[in-house]
Amino acid sequence: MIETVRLIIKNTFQHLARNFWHSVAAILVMTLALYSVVYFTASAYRYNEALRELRSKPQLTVFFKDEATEEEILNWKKSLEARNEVKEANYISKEEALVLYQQENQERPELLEFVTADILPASLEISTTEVEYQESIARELANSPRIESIIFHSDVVQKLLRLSNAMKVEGFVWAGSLLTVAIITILVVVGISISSYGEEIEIMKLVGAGSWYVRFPFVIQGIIYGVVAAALAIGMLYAMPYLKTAIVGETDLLFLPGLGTDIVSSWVLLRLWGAATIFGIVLGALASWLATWRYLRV
Amino acid sequence: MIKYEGVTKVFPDGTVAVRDIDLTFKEGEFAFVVGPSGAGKSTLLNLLIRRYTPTKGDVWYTDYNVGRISAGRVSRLRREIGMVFQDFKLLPRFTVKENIAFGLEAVGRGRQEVRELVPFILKLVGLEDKMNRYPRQLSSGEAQRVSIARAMVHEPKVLLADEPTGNLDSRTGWEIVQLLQQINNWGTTVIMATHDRDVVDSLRNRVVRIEEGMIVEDEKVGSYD
Repeated sequence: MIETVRLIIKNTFQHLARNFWHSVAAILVMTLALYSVVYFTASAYRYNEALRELRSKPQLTVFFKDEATEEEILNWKKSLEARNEVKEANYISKEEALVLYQQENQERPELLEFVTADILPASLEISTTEVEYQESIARELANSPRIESIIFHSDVVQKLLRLSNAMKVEGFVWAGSLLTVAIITILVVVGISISSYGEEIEIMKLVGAGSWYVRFPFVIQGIIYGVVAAALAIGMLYAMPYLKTAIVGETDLLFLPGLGTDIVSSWVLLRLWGAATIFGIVLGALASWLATWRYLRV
Repeated sequence: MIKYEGVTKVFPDGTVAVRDIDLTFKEGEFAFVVGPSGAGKSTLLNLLIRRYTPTKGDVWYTDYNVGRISAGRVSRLRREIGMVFQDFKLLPRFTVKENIAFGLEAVGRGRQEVRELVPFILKLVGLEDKMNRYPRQLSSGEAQRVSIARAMVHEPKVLLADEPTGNLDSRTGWEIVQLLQQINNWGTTVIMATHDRDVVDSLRNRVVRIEEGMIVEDEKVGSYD
C-alpha cells in the first residue's frame, strides 16, 4: 500500500516534470478562470456591504408642531427605539436645530439674521434597520395631530430597493456565467494537458496496469493544478488593488464607501482562498478523472 | 486453456472482423495465426485480452469468460496474458528500465524487487547494457525485445505476439522469433499472428489460417501456404 502510494506520487511528479510547460499553461489558464470567479465574488461582496451600509443610513425626519412638549417627543423617541425596525432615534430640540442651522449657513449671515429657535421645529431623526420599514413608520406617525410633517426620501428608497434586487438577479446571472465558463475552461485545459498522455495511458492499460494506478497520478496532478491556481488567483486578488493604487492613485467613491476600492478584508480573502482552493481541487480532480476516463476504456 | 466459441466481432462501422470462430489453444503451445492483412488476426488476439468484446459468442481463458469479467479482473488478465505489438507500444517518455519497471510497480511490487527483476529480465532479452536508453534511442529489434521483456516481467502463462516481426528486417525478425521460441520452451503458451512466410515455414508449428474473418485451415504442423 505504502509502496503504491509512493509510486503514484512519484508518477505525479514525473508527469509534472516531463510535461512542465503544459502544466504551467494549464495552471495559468486555471488561475485566470479562478481569478475571474474570485474577483467577481469579492466585488459582489464589497457591493453588498456598501449597499447594506447605504440601506441602513437613510432616515425619516419627523417635525413636531410647537404644541408638542419635549416630554411628549421623548416618549415618542422611547417607544420608537423599543421597536425592532428602528435602529435609533435622535431628538433634535429647537435650540439644537438652530445650532445646526447656523452651522450650515455660517457663510450666509443674511439667512441667520431673523432666525431664532422659536421658529424652528423640534424633530426626531429616525434610522430604521431596513429601508423597507420607513414607509410604514411614516404612515403610522402621520396620523398624530402633534406632528407637523415627515420627510423621507421614498423615491430614493424605492430606487435603492429596485437597484438592490436587480443587482441580486444580475449577480446570480454573472456568477452563473462565470462559473460555467471557468468550469468549461478548466475541463478543457486539463483535458488537453492529459491528452498528450493518451497513448501512454492506453499502453499502460493494455499491459495490465490497473485503472486507479494509471488514473491517480493524473487526478493528483489536477488537484495540484487547482491548489496552485487558487493560490495564484488569490495572490492576484490581493496584489491588484495595491498595484492599481500605485499606478492611478486612490479611487474610492466617497458616496459609496468601499465600492470604489478593490481591497477586501483579510477574513474575506481567507474565505475566498478556501473556497477557491476547494473549487480548484474539485474541478482539477474531476477534469483529470474525465480526461483519463476516455483513454482507460481500452 | 484458451477457447473461442462461435465468436463474431462486428465493429461499430459494420466491419465484420471475425465470424463464427471456434478455436482452442492448449497450454504450452506455440501457434501461428496467419492470413493476409485485414483477415482478422489482430482482432482474434485482442479479443483474448479484452481490448475488444465479442459481438457474439464467448472467449474463454481457463475458467474465465473474458468478455464478461469485471474491469478489475481485466488488468489481472492482461498480466497473465502478455502481449507484444507490431509497433512495440513502448512509453516514449520512459527509459527502457522504466518501461519494464512500471509494469511491476503497477501491481505494487517493492523497490528492491523491481531493482532485482528489471536487470534480470533485460539480461534475458540481451539488453542489460541499454536499460537507461529511451525508446527513440533503440533500433526496432531492440525496441521489440523491450516490448517482450515488459510482457514477460509478470511471468505470463500466455504470450500473444501481434506481427512482432512486421517492422523488422529478416535477420532481426528471426532473432525475435528465436526469443519467442525460447520463451515457449520455458512453458509459456505463445500465439503469434504473422504473415512472415519464412518464420512460419522454418518452425513447423501449428498454423491457423484465417481469411475474411473465418478460419479456413488449422494444421498441427503447418506451413505458410
